[in-house]
Amino acid sequence: MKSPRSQNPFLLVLLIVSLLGLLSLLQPGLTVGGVALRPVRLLADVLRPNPAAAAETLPPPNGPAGPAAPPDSVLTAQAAPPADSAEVAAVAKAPAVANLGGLDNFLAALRQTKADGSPVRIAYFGDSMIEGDLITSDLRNSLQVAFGGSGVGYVPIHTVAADFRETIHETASADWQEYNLVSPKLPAGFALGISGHVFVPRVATAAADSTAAGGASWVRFQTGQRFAPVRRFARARLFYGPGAEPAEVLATTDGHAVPHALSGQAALNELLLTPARPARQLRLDFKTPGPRPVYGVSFEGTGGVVLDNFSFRGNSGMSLTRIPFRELAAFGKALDYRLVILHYGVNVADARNKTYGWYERAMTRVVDRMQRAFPAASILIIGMSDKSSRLDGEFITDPSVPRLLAAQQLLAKHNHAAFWNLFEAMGGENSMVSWVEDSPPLANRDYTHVNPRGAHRIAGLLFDYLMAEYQHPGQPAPAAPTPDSAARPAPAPTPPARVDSATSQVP
Amino acid sequence: MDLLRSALAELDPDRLLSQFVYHPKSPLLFNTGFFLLLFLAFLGVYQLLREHHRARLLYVTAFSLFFYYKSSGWYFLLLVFSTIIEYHFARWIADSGSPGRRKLLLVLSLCVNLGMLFYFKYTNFFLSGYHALTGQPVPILHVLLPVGISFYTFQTLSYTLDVYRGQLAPLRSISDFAFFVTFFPQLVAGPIVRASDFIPQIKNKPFISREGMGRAVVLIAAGLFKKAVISDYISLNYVDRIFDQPGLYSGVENLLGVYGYALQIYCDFSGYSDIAIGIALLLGFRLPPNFLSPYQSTSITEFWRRWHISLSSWLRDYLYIPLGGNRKGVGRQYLNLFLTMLLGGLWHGASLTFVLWGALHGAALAVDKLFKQVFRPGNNWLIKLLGWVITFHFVCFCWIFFRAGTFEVASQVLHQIIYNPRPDLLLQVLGSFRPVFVLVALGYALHFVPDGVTLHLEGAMGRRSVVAQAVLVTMIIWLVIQVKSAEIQPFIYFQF
Repeated sequence: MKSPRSQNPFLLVLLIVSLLGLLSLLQPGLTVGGVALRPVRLLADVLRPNPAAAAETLPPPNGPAGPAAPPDSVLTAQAAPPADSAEVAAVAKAPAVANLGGLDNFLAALRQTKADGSPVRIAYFGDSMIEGDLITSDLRNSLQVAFGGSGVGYVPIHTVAADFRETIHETASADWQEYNLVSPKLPAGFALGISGHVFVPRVATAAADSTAAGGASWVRFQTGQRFAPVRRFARARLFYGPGAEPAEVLATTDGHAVPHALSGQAALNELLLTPARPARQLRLDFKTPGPRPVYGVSFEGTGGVVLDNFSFRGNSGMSLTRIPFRELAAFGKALDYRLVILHYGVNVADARNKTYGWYERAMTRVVDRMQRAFPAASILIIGMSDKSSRLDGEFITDPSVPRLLAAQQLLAKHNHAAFWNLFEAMGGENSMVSWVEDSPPLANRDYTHVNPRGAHRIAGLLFDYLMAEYQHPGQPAPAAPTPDSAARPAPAPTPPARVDSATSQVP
Repeated sequence: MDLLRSALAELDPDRLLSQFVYHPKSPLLFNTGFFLLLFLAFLGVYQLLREHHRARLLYVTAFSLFFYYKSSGWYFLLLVFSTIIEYHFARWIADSGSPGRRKLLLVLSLCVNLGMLFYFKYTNFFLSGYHALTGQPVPILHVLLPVGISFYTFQTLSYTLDVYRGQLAPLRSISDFAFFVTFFPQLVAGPIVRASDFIPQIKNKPFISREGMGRAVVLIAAGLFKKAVISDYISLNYVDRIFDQPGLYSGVENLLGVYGYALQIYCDFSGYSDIAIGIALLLGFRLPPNFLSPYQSTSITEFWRRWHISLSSWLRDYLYIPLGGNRKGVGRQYLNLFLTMLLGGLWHGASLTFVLWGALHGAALAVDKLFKQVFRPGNNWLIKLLGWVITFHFVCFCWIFFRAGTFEVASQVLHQIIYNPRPDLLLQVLGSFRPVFVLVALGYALHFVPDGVTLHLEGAMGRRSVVAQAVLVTMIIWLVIQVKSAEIQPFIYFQF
């Protein structure tokens, strides 16, 4: 016979609350099997906020971040920092950093463009933040609308986010051999190009030759429709390395196919393709008797602004030194940059890193190479965006962000580069949380990456910064006279290309 | 005593008071610490009012309205309005002798109910649809969707329709009716409780049997685990990221994202339902089960008998059967199935992706019926296995549209799965997100636990002392706290 008495749910809940109350008395910082236990704070919502609750429960500084990973490992997405010695103490709070100068060469070139339409080329290096032409597509468009210019700039034969990119659609055959910044081993014959990639088309054997024309490695480009200046291109420049002859590429623009010899033997060679009228499509079929490195194609007009997107996911920036200097300089000569932007940080920001002197030193080597390879270019370091981590259930700015920003600022200062503090521009402390929670959201729920809407906003902020510098260089002295641009070496005007196609060698 | 005094000193009166005010970003969910404390206080008074029927009813109704106010602010007046209107309509319908007048009253009631749902949920959807078709500029209204409106309008509709059909006598006390409409456990996220199931329980004195208590404890513990451990963890640390920008991930990552989402939505939705059913049991009310391990289904028809049962049976009884059901020929039956699911899709949200989701399920139900009639497949294990594989993957395929929000995102997911599959990355992905996929595996494993085991567990829990029951729930809550405050998985992009 069952008891007819009703059970008492009040007693049940009272016991649960009491047990949780007992658990909340547990010493904070307990660990079980190496996992730190989180405190039970049942009354957290109604108690006075406890500043001690935000105390860090993190491993000691510069502890080994897992098994030794190669720098820029995209698997761990956190570069393991070398053991660090004494270091400039990083400030605990993000400093309100004034953007440093250093854009003079670029601003002079922009003025020149405004006056006579001469070309200004920008190299924008970054990690997954600019993948798929995020940020750069909007920035390029704003600059091209304001100063003239067309084309999406340099496009590698293949990138991971090719399908995601809106400004140019790219398809390549599956038979390309690719080496890049994260390849464990780089063969001696194939130097990495400026984008951090090198591609080798399949060697055309006699057998492959006889089967079908489709046997060759190919790549096809189709311009995107979103931005008017990049819908058509006036010329395309194919960049390739040395190799066995006679090599050939069949270039098809808007249905019109022309074979061209690939005869250059320098470290970097260029094939200029000039369609009869601005085109929207280009297909390249490669027929090479021996292995020959191919880098990418630049789509551009003859003057105005060209902006190249060099994105590489997982990159901390440090591995750019894997690009041989000779190759980098050859690209520098061919592309004649006036501004180099370095936008990194999310792959090295990790709460376990207490100091970033090692990062500043490594990036100084990168900046130094850039300055030598692109002597006419200004360098702009973009301070990292806000990135959140979760502490006791709440999303806050990762403690490493202000430390890394300070290192990036020092990097710019010590190398006479310009610095733009994206973290502050986004809204500073905890801005990532509001970007994620905005409606519609501006950032993804990894609390690290912005989405296309957020990228559009960042591009606008960056463009505004550049234009403020353009109008009032050397802030914060708005009354200062405009530097005399005539006193600076003006870029030599490039003679407009008249030939239908030409091969030129860049020593 | 000192402990208590120091605890009281730490109490922040402003923060305590602000907990009782509506905050759009912090609704009063069952899995929050504040709800637990509030529920304890609520139960104390509820026990005291055991013998006082009317006072207990008013007390629970007032608490329910407060609960709704915490989720929706001043929209709780809408709930009050809806309650008063429907109470009177049902009475007028029952009291009216002329069929014409009854029909007119029913139509008016439907207009009010559906009009409210339509205005708050679909105005902008249809305005922008009109704009897309004609190119005419339209004003976009800033209408905030009142939480749970889809659930409680369906609940009151079932009452009025049952009264109209003569299957239910109308309530003669508005406090009884208000209690039914506002009953807080299922108010904001279901299950959709039928008037005919619930109303007979109102007049009973709350009685919680040992089995009921055991079942409540297991439901609440399992619900919390599903909702606040599995679903919340895998969505934040993996699934949301994939659906934010699928083009940045390889096909295998996208595919795992889809499987992950299938588990996430089940755990989220059924977990919250389970907690609601468990809490109702603690108050002495039995609500019907809402989910029965739906991914065990070996056909799409079976899936809809196991998934969100309170909605699918509502749609069957108040939409499919009135449309003619299977009584007007086979062709008409397929059309009715399709239309029912199409509207069922739209019920989930004002977007064409939900319409497509509903249409796909509707079409599949029709195809399933046709297939079974034509081929009469046997019932051996091979056919069952094949049916299970097809059903599960079809459901997952439909979830892509349900989750993506836009066709663009959905097509990116499909594009990556088809054109950039990269199965070679599988082990790397699983290894890099180990906690996520351990939870996914655990979630699916628990899903395939036979119902008998769960029943046995409920019975065993019922025979245990209240201390053991409290320990089980406390352990789960402690686990929830651990997971909720754990660091997030670092983002990882693979080269592909």
